[in-house]
Amino acid sequence: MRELVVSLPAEVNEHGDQMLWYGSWLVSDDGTEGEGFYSGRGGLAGRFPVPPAAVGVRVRRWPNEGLEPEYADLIGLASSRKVGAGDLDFDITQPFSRLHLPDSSRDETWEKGSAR
Amino acid sequence: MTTAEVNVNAYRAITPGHEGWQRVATPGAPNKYFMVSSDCHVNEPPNLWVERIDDKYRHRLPRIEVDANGVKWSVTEGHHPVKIRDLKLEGEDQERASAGSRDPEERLRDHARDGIDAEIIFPNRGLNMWATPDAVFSQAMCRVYNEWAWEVFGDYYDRLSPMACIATGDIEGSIAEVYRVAKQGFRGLSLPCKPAWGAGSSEDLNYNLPVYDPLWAAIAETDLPMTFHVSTGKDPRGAKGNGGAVINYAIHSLAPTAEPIVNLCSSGVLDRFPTLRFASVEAGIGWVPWLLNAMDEAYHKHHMWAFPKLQMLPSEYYHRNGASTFGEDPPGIDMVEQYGLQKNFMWGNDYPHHEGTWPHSAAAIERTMGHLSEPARAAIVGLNAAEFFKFEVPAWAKAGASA
Repeated sequence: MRELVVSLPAEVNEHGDQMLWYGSWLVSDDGTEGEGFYSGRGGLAGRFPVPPAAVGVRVRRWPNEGLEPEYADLIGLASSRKVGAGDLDFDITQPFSRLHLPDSSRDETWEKGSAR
Repeated sequence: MTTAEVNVNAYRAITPGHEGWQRVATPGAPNKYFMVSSDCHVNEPPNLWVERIDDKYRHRLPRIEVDANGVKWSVTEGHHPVKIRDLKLEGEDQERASAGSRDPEERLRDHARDGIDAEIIFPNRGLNMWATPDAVFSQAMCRVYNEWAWEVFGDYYDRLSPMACIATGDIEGSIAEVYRVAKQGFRGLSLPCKPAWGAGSSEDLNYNLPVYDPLWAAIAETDLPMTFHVSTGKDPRGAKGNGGAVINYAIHSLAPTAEPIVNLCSSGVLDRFPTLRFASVEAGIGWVPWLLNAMDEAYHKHHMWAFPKLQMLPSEYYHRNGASTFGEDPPGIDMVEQYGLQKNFMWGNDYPHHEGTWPHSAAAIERTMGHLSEPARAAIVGLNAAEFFKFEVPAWAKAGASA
């Protein structure tokens, strides 16, 4: 049985608290997710059996809990694998990005519930 | 508190006082009004939807994406991407940004600072639940929010009352959710201003159409009031470039909240379902007298095109069945008694948002409502919302309180 070993670093978020993480399985080649396998604060290492349908892993984190999560995808689970979430690059375009190139300067505008 | 912050927020505490008022809005005062904030917000757990949504929808939830230049964007299905900005707040602005707790006891402490006795709670990030053309997906997000909101606030429901969110583009799912939340005990519903997400077309589903009668029947049967909050139904960022922030606030966020009111008042829905109650939320009130007049004008002058023929004028349905919430709207307050809308307007502090009045609501009320009659003021700051949302009014608040 394939196994995923994940370590979530004890990073501190923008509020001074332990970072919140969420890990889930990628189950298709279009970025669809299956079940989640971890949800909680960091500073933890865990071993998780890989579901047969899993083709990769998506790791979300919330540096700012008033905003949506950042995420990083890791494709390739042909065999057991170790993942250090702290080594993932959250600052690049991800394989299944849903960001269509922005055409606007709408960033200057207000949105109800934004800027927490 | 920094010097700069004092300058930008100093106006919030300016007040002409309350000389001559029988009751006051001052927190802790023995002769305080019974105050219901008809528009507040809660910060949901950041991982609420990711954790609880059906697996098949998780990859479609809002998230932050990074473009080829390393710029970060908030991506929500149905919205234009929004660039993430490093917004540094301080002093009272930062306090508001950190408030809106999901801890009921913390909320009660914050409300005590502002004189609030009871509140109606709307989502915060959850206002994006309707931001998708897929109404079934939207309904799934709404149900996650509703289940969580009841878990957190169910035991505090006499004072802290979230509205149950319904994705009306999915009519069958909406009916099921209305019955479910009514059975659970929710006090009211939050519906998007338009059932079909987007800029809008005459081909879209909308609330004037008889296809919605089964939903109205369910809502009438459960006797839950409907609310229509600003910034739902379409992307509120319809403009870009010069003036975008002002255009989007006034035109693309607030103004569309009039549409469901006109749909309900002009289409015969309120003849078929005369007990339905509805309210626009956070869109202000100054436009209401104008809108009522505009609806009646159209019904009279375009009589050859206006159908169905109604039992009453469109404005009369609003007077009987409708309400509108506001925070600070001096022109609207000026017209309250002139147009007989004392029973239709409900104040709210929009806690904890910057466009609201927390924690200086007493000053805001004193600045804007000094010329109202005592009964009208008591009704608008709390008793109207208590009646609309069926809060129990304490005996001390009932004395001399007929508007």
